Amino acid sequence: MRPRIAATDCGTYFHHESLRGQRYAHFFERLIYMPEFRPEDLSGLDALIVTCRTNADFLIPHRAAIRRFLGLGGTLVACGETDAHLWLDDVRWTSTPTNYWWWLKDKADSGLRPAAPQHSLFQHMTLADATWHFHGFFEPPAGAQSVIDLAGGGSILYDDRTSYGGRAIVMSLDPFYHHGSHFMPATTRFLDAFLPWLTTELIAPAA
Amino acid sequence: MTNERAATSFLFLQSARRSIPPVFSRLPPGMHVDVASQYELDDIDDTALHSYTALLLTSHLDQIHFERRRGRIEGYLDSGGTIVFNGPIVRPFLTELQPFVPLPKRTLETLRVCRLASHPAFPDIAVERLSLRRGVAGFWGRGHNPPPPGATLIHGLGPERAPVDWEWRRPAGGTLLCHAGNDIWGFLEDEPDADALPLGVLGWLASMEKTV
Repeated sequence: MRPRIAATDCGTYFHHESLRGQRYAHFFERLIYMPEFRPEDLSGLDALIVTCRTNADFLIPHRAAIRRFLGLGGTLVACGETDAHLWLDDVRWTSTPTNYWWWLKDKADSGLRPAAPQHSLFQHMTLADATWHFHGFFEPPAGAQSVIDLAGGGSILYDDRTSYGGRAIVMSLDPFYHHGSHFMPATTRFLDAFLPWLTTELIAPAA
Repeated sequence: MTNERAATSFLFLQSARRSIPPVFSRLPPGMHVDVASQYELDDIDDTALHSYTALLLTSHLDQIHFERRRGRIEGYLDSGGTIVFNGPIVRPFLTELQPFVPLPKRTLETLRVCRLASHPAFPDIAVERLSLRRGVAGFWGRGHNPPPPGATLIHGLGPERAPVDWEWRRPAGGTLLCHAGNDIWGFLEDEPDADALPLGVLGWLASMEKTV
């Protein structure tokens, strides 16, 4: 059975390219145009992807509905630059200046570390596919599993199966923005792996 | 018909939950930028809207919302106004516009910016600064929005000179300055002369007499 995945669409060029473009459109059962978002839009969905740079102002009034969706067993993916701490309970976020240039140095280190090499996401991608830059880090709730850590502390992608009833995957990465901007090839590799992984997990979650 | 005013007023339509470009708080005397969410556009009547010399847009524009207001946009241009558009067009908001065409290959060579015509909106910026930032190419644009016939091509990309920037004097009135890449407003934001690029554009806009 094909899982029913919805993605948020704010009408920007990068949402258009990433969500409606030929490469990924088939993953989405529904696109939700956020200025017209209603809680009913979540009914019947297996997963909601809050795509990069979705304006939190559209989500804050519907915080309770998102929590209900999770409570009913839904899966939520919160991408980077969506200010998830403003509309999702238990998200602890620290914003940091973004270093777009780290990779220009000799022996450059992005600072990203696989926190859970055994996590099923790493059966679909390598750490390099998640490596471009990040906009801050999270302190995952107790019981959540960080998948990618920062060397200095904090998580940039975590998988929370304990806090809400459903499952939340929270990240500070912004792949839909950069893929849709035709910029930074790693972001395309990330989505090439992440969307099939999510689909697989919705059908048969890894232990 | 000319529209006379004491100061040149621009309207910046904010589309993302982000701060306002700092340059708008550092304008020279005689220039003024009002800021509104693009979702407040319906609350601004035509008289007020048409009083602005230019509408300044960002690459985070909700193009679904904007395209649905085609009649108001045409009315604004009919009044002699100018629109500065940043980013790829994916939902043409005027009949004469077409969707963005990405470069088929993105390399240092195809991303290199070349000046196709000197233009008063870009008076003091060396084109090399648009091509590379810290040696990295691609920030200025990764493709082009196809220009309508009669547009003045300003900057091109690569050997094919894909027209990443152009100005179009609309036959029915108004002007469109179209830049198919990251926002002009903050492009050089971490450099000492960060304001030079946006102030060049605003200076050009201020020098244009609003006529129909």
